Amino acid sequence: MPAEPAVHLVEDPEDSRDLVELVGALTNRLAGRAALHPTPGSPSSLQLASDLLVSLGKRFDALAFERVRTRAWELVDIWMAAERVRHLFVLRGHLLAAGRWRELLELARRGGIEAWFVFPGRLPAGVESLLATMSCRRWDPSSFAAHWGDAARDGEAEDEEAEFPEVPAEEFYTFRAACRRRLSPANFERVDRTFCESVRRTLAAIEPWKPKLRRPTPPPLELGDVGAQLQNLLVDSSGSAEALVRLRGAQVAYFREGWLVGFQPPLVPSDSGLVPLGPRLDPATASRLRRLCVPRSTAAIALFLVADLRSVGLTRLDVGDVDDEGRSVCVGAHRFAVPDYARSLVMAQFVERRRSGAAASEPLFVHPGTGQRPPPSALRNVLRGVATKMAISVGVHDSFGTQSDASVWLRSQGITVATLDWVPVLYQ
Amino acid sequence: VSRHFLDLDGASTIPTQHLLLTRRAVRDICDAAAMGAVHGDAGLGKTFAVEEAVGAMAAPVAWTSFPGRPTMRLVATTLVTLLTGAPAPERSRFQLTGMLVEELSYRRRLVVVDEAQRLNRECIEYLRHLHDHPRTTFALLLVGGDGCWQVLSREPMLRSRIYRRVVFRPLTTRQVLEGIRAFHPIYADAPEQVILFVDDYFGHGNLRNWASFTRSAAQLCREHRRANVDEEIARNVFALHGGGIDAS
Repeated sequence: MPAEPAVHLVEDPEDSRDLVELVGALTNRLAGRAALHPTPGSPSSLQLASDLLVSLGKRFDALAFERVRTRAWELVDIWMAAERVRHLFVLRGHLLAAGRWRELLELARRGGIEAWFVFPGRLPAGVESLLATMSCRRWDPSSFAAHWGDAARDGEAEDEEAEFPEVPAEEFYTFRAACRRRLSPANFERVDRTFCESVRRTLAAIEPWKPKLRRPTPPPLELGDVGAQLQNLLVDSSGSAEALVRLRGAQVAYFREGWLVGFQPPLVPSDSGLVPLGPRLDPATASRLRRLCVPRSTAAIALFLVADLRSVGLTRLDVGDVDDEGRSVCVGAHRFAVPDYARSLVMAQFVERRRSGAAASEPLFVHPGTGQRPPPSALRNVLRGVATKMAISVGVHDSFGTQSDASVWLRSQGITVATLDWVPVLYQ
Repeated sequence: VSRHFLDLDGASTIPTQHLLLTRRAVRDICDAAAMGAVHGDAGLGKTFAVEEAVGAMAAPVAWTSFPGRPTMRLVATTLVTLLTGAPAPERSRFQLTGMLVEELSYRRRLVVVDEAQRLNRECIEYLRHLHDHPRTTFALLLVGGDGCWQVLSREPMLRSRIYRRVVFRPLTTRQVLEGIRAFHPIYADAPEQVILFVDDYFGHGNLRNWASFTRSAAQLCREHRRANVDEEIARNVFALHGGGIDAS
């Protein structure tokens, strides 16, 4: 069976807004679909690379801002791979010169990407001859819409999820009742679904830690294990309200098995205010970080925000500590989850190192000058630099400590763990 | 704030069909962050209607026009200056475009391009790019006089994107009779024949002509202590204007 052609030509004689809107609805980073809107007026190769980076969420001047113009196409390749782009829609292809088409076709070939060129009619000189040498499939607007209609509708449905409701600041033992009393039925239903799911996930996670024979007093827990479990549970919450609901669910589960997980938000020592319960790498922060295009910058600060990994911990990471899809990173004996929406921020560094031939046992971060594992101070400077550029606070956790494990994350969130001297009968 | 041609003292707004349609169209394109066009011959009240419509809006409005045969760079620098309130930096057009996309992505706003018939294909393509860009969230209203629609409709990329279109035409005799008494106190009790006489020889359903006539007629009425315009006043105004709008 012949392979599906990787180049698609969508001719839209009406040059219609509908088709642009359809492509807009199809654009979905998590589904591996990106749309290129080339800047009108014969863009140069560098400008095309810049437009491609913009299509992946970067700043319009990211190449100049981060002084990486000479690496433009290399970064396009890295980010296309990190974002796992499978379909690239190129709007208004007729405005691009043959040379730019060649670059896009090469990019698609290198990355295994299906390129969809949308144009209203006649193609520029040289493009037809370029296309004559390859297998292309031609589409009209209606067949294109029929092919992609379902995917576009799926995207619209995903966007309809309303914001997570605010919840009362009650302790875990009265939390669910307070939510039932104060929230609207629809909001309570959503909160309770999240709460019960959290109880279920936590019970499953702590099942192996329970003693084989029930004893009056459960054994003490390894703080790192609890830290890793809670980090995995909370990391992809949509905000502090959802994180609190998940934590309350987890507290109930731990309590049921004889452990008391307390939550006392720590005060920031220098300035006033509380350190809010995670996630610190929420979707909005991830989008802001995505505007940068140097993988080292995005990966370092994403790992810092996700796992509270300080510069020492970042320095120790190896390429093999990141899983092949960037969904988690192994720190010591524990695995920290990276939320889906932020996966590519870490993955880009992984891809860059792999492309440079680094083996699993080699460092994830290297000093740009020496190519060796960098000193912690270098990564601390990276963190501070990115934080300044993107106006993201790195707070007081700015990397002077030497310990990097899951218990650090636990402490930074203000979560404590104690063993009860009795197992609550209520839940037996 | 919308103002009458020649800053006509004592004039009121005539709620013509075009004015009401423009009001609705502006509201609709702002709600949908879409494109719209308001066009028609000179003097029919397009600019007044658009000014009046945008004056009631909460969203910020940026109003601009370009000289004949503008370049993409000129459009870019003009819009950057207009939107940021600071002179456009000396950057390439591509960088200015990035700045514009950034600027137009933060909040819903309306960009009005007056004299849109002066735009050429490249500039239309450029505005389309800004408007179609997934990050921008602005409504674009193209306002133009003679030949505007011919220019815009020549480009399929625009024709299919115009969400609301208002075509200004001269007022009919019936519309003049219905509306002009509310326009200015000197017409409140003026005989119908006088109004028709003025429209036949001077107004021609064109609000700018009517505003010209009214300013001169109001002055004569004041000087001769007459409350309403009559045939004698009308003929004197024609004389002051060189024999009326049809004199040549």
